[in-house]
Amino acid sequence: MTAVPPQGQAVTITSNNVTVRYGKILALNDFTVKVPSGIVGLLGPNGAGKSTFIKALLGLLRPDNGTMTIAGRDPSDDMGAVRDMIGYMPEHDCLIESLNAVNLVTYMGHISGMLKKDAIPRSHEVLDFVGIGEERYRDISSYSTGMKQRVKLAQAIVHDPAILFLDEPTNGMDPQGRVEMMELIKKISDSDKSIMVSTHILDDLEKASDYIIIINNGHLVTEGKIDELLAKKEGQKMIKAVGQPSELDVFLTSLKKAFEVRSAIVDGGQASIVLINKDDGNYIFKIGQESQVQIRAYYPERASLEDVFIGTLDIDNANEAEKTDAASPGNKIEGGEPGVN
Amino acid sequence: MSIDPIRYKPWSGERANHFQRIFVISKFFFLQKIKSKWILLLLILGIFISTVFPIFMYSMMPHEGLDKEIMADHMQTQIIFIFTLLLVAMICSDTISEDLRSNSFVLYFSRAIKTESYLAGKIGGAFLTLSTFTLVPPILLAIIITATQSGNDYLASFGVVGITVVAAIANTLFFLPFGLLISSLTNRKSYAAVGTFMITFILMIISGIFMEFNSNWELIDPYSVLYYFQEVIYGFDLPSNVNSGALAAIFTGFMTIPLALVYIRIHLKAVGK
Repeated sequence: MTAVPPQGQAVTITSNNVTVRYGKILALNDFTVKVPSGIVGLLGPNGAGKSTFIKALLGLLRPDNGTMTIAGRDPSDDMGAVRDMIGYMPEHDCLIESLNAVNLVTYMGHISGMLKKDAIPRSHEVLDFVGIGEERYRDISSYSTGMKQRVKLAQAIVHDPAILFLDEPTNGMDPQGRVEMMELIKKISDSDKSIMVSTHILDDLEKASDYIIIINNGHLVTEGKIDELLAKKEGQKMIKAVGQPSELDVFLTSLKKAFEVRSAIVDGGQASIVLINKDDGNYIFKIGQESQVQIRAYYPERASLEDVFIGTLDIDNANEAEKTDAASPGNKIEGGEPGVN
Repeated sequence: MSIDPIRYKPWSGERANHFQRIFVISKFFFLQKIKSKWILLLLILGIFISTVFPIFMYSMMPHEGLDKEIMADHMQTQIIFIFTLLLVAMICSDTISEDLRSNSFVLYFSRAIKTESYLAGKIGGAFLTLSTFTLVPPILLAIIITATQSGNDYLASFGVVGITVVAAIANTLFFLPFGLLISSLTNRKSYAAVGTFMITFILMIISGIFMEFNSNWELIDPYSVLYYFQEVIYGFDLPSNVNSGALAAIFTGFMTIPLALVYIRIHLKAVGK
């Protein structure tokens, strides 16, 4: 029998200056992060390096440089022990469709080292937990996308791993299913698991996660507690104004002098402006009056994780473009804001 | 389905060591295969045609003991070769192709399963399934002939039983790497099955054409390679036109090259390259 991994204990994951290359492509570039326990969101655009990071943590890839540890163990050197601590729910279809859910989850428990006497009752237990009822005896090929997502979660938790990697857990699920899936993830995290969730549905993550890591072009862009990241957007207000285009331009110019304007769309006689103002709106209305524009709406713009994500990536992409321009002045791009999506 | 009121329950129990998990893969594969009605049908048909008749014939016929010639003749019959090939084609067809099609490699490799463990598990499962035809019946035949012998030299007869075990293992293992290779090249089960069968026959045809110019071409034919290898196992001399070095090289090549290619293919797949 192997040593039982630290079940039920929060485990930390560290990555120190990790570099992974696929030939000439730099998938992870000097990536350093310390992932705390709890539900952690791993965010990044497609090709940012999220999957590479997870694969390196699983020991499937050996980093070209740097070190990674899970609960103090290096996944490249101690693959067996590390993977026994991990449950992985992949993004894409991966279920053996000729099996039914009970057989698949039992088999997965079994190859995770569970004995037969434990694997069968445990598979029923986790299928109950994820909400798969009598359907568990049907072949997986007949399941809906939502049911398959639940079975994928069940196979990831059957051996009660200390760490869970969930790649797009709500992919293809209806709104009700998404809510239920996030509820399940929260319930799992209540038993001191470290759960790393990679998703594009940031709304789901905002409700469930404690900590966010944003990754772009293989490097860490930002990380922090979700409350702290959202607090950076505190005081964000939306203004809707109408008036002559020339007056709107004057209004916008005045606002830019007085406030940090995050975005502005002026279309014909209408303007939508997002700015930061932590005081009341009296001064804004005064500027409006002076510019002879009509302010139709002024309200707090709720900061969301999506704002944080897009804003952070915009800044990072702009920085990257600046670096590229500095490195090769002959290739300077004319017009437009560099790197803005 | 609704929001489940059930709480997540941690599990604490003993875990099997990593080596035992290979047997889990083998056992699972074997149980899946043995439930397939087509494989069962082929097994029953093959055992009936190749073994049941010889069992009756040899047990009723007066005999002093178990001769090497009897068992070698039995192991070298074309009917056993054809049924073995058919079974390999059916058993190996979805061994890897199913995992390729469903992307289920990730389920294995996110657990404490290395590429070599995965491959060993799958080969073990295929070996167990195929051995119900290639290993068990010949040994049963050898034991029945020994049990019904009139002579007293049981030691010699059991010696032949032992050699038969080795010959049957060689028979079982010979085609598995090749079947696995074909299975790893496609995600369609039917292509893998037909491919295994067809490529063997194409090799036989090529061998038949070119051996008129040079007798060494005979060793391209898998049936000939297996036939001569059985001769070596049973201790008979090889015909003068057969180059023993070439035979050893081709037999080793048949067993190792496909396995190496399968290993590389799965390893790259596991890493996602």
